[in-house]
Amino acid sequence: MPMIKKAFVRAAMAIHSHLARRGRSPTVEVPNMSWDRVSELAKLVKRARYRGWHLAADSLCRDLVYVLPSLESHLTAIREELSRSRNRANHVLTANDIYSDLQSLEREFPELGLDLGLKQLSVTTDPIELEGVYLGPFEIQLYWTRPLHTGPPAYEVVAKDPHPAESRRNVTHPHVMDNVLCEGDGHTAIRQALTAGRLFDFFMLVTSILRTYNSESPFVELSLWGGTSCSDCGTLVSEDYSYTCYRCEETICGECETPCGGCEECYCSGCVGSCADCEEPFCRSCLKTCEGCQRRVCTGCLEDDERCTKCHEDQEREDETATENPAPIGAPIHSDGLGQAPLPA
Amino acid sequence: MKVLFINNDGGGFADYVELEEGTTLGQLSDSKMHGAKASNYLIRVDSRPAARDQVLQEGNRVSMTPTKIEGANASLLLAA
Repeated sequence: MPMIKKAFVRAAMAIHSHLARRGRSPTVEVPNMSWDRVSELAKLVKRARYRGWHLAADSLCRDLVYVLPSLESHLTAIREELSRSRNRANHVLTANDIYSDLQSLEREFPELGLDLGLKQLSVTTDPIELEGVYLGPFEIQLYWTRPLHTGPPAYEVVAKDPHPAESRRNVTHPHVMDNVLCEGDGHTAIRQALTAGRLFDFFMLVTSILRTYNSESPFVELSLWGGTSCSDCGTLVSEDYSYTCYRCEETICGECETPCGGCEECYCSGCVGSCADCEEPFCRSCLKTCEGCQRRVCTGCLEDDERCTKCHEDQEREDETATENPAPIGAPIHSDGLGQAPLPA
Repeated sequence: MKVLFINNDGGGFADYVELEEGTTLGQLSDSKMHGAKASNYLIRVDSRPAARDQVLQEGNRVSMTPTKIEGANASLLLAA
């Protein structure tokens, strides 16, 4: 006879009791969290546009496009739930079925965790690798008393050996941001499984999503997983097409990378200037100060007398004028502008 | 006999289906998958792996879960 696990029995009874209670008194749970995210992103887009940060605004719009379906799905689920709940037979599993699901989960996953105090059930997946990118194992943590559509999420997906995207450290999987899974096509099935207490189906559905890459709308594309944002324009660049500023070591894209006309190293826009004379880009080390006008010029535009071409020519003209019209010996010295300084006899 | 059939592809709805005695898991899944590849689904009886020729029993819970589910709604993205 198989051994009965007391912890599983307690958990099965607690979960069943909670689901049965929820089933008896159906409530409409407004998706406040999704709405707040949409609202906050919309505000940020508006602010970015107002300040002329168009790249940031575009990036936020992409996030908004990604979050909106989630809100829409929540609202659709509420509408469907309300229309179904009137005549639906209650499919909530028995405590015995939930107990069987716990046993199956223990067999299916490498790790299963149960915390009756926290009302948390978790499983850990095998390490996940998508299109050659290693993401590591994930722990799916279900809090069975949390509501499905409001407040903190009913479950979280936590990377056990995080390999997040370089550009966004809170994205641990193309479809997981801040430990929240964007369920996409699995949304309704997940809600149904949780409502009925089908724990095994719930964890298998989440795992199926984690093992699938939807290249149409990830938080970060897998091809750019190792890439970082260009410090100048904010564009996401892959490792193969990025440059490092020779001075500040920030990552920059090919469009923003500027080679110095002197040392030929590449720099970001913050570390490169232009010669005041020829206007070509040069790094700070390759620009010198003209002794005449104090402007910063390249060595090509600096004459032997450490003056820029313009100052050098001005000096030459002055010297020529001085040679052609030398000041007469004994000419009176005008006191204008010299103040009251006494002159020697 | 009645078994609970759960289709986790899409809606994830559970329905009781009436079957003749002796119906196998393979026969039920063929009738429900509408030509889809069986290898794209994880089919369980009472949350346990089962063979195609397993004869279903009264009260069994049969679940069909796709092995690949896209984590975002591509159709809405394209419409945006």
